[in-house]
Amino acid sequence: MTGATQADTYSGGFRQPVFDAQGVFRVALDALARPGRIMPLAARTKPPRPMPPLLADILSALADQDTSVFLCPALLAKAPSAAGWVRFQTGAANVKNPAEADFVVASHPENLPPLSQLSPGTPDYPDRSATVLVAVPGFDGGLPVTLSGPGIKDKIAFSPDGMSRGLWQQLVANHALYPRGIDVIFVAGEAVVGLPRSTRIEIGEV
Amino acid sequence: MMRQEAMGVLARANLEELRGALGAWPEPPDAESLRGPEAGLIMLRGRAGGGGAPFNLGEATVARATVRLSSGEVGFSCVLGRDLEKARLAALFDALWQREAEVVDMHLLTLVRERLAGQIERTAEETAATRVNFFTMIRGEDE
Amino acid sequence: MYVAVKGGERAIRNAHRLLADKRRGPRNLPDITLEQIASQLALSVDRIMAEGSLYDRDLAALAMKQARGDLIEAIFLVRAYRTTAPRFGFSEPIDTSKMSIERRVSATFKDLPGGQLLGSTFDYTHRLLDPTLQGAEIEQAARADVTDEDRPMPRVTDLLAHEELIEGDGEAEEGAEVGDLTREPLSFPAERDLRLQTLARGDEGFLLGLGYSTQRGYSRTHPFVGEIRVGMVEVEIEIPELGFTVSIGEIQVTECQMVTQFQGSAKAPPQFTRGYGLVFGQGERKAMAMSLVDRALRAREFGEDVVAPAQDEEFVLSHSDNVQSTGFVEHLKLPHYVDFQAELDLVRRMRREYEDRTADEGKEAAE
Repeated sequence: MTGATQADTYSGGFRQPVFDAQGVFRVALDALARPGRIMPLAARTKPPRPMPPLLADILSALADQDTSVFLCPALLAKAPSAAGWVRFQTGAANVKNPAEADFVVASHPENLPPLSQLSPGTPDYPDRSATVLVAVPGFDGGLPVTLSGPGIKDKIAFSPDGMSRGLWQQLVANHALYPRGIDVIFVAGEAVVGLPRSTRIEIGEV
Repeated sequence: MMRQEAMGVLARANLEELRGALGAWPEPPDAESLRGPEAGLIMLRGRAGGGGAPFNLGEATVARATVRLSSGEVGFSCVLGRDLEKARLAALFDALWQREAEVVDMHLLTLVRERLAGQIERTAEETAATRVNFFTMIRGEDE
Repeated sequence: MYVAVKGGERAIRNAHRLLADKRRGPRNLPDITLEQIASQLALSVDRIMAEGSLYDRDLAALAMKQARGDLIEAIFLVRAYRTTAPRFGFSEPIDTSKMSIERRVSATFKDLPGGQLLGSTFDYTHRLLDPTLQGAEIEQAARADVTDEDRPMPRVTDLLAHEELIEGDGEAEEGAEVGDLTREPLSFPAERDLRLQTLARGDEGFLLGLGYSTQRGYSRTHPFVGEIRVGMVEVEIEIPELGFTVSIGEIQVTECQMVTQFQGSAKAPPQFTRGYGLVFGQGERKAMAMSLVDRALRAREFGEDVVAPAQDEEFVLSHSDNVQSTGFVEHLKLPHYVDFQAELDLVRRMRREYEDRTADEGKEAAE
């Protein structure tokens, strides 16, 4: 029994589980209701480094014993105790196959598995789809896209850093599956941005 | 005794026994709470026919806690019922057991085991007094 | 159609206050304690746990008190409580063969290893009301020495399994998903895991009636009690952080193995088949009824014709839950003024048309 590695797994969770989870849930809800808008969110957890704390915050608020989590191999390579941390703090099972995951977590967009592999839900139960939580280096400086649809007045520009054209094309295809499809929450620094399946994406500036 | 077994005994200790055993330490052991104590549910399972495929029978309330001693040992508990203080203390003693098994054994586990053995014996004796032997009577046949 | 109704706040508040007052009863009598309910009305508490589908004696006793002894209301309260609590996981399947026995009888085998133990039973009482019970001194239970021959007590069905005249427990497919109706709504046909879960929390009265119907010829069964056992079983859960299972305490359960003659079919040879009952607490009638209905619902598996209500899975499973049943039946007393007004208008119109028509016919007949 080594105290040091255990410390990583067991500490750094929500300090006030109910209030912290409610606070994070509210911001995640607002982010998905107002796609493309940057929503400030101060991290409340301290997951094993270098796992981005906001990914851990959102998982701690949304994942539970009845859900499963896929952590991208790149993240697990740098933070091996992240799997145990998520298991202990949320109760969610870790899965190796992203297709089986309710939450797909990546420390950078390039570490995401092909989005077509993820569960888009079924026509009867479109809610049984995967939610992607992905960290980006920042919310500007990347390839610009234009978002429109429910929760957006007219159009909104969005250019998160680290997103390739190919990945945006996958998200365009994802929107076409509506009402099925995955939802994405981007995190960077101390803010999050929601991109639900309902949002129309045009690659290029407004 | 294995840790697994010790945890099983701790789950059956009552609050009085757990609090009493704390007296074995001159200073209250210094522990940090890592999770809980919190109350929740466990889905209990049975097996079809007693030994066949599992099915969900219904839930039970449980309380659980995870603590860490200043010396580093992490203690867990999960106990039937909703007694959060009991869960916290059971986790604390699980951690202490990893550090000082003999002390926990002497001041707590032995007492709990004795009480449980007494209860089990009492129930077994009361039940044994209701043992019945049925005789089959053959009717309507000539000798 | 749902139409909101406003008003009545004060009346509702006062009605609840009146309820609280009635619940307390005459103030010159002592307030009943939860400990008294849990210990002296234990079988009601057990039924609340079983049908509330939540093992917690204290909560069940509280629910019983809050519901003024209305068991279905108490079960409703317990069910509502459980929806608010997080689930931490599930247990390893309980092992009833390792039960600490409080009662164990078999109607099929009189000499079985471990013997027959009546325990605390109403069987063989004369069902005469006992006016001396009130305030009487009650003597302690008798005790007898426990010999090594009394332990262990194998399940009767395990003793017989090797003869193949009685069906076995069936193979447990390791790692197979266990259906959970609290997570996914029931759909039909339902597998046995979901049927057993539904029956275990089902209404005792409903299952009793259905079980009785199978005995009276509504489905062809000729059941015997292979074994009933009541006692404490250990609950174990796996703690993922530790990588091993730990025991978290004991629960009391009642198990019934019902043995039923089976003529054989294209799918299975003639043998004794089985129905299974398992409920929280001491609930023998419920466990027996459950095992009868479990067997009846296995008709499809044995290639039997589904001819009786107790064999009709959708009928049985959809109507066995008393919280669902009471919700739908009792909602009828809530305001339906707009619905009814619409129907009233419709009936008036039909009535006018009917009267016009009969008047016309009368005129024609007269002409």
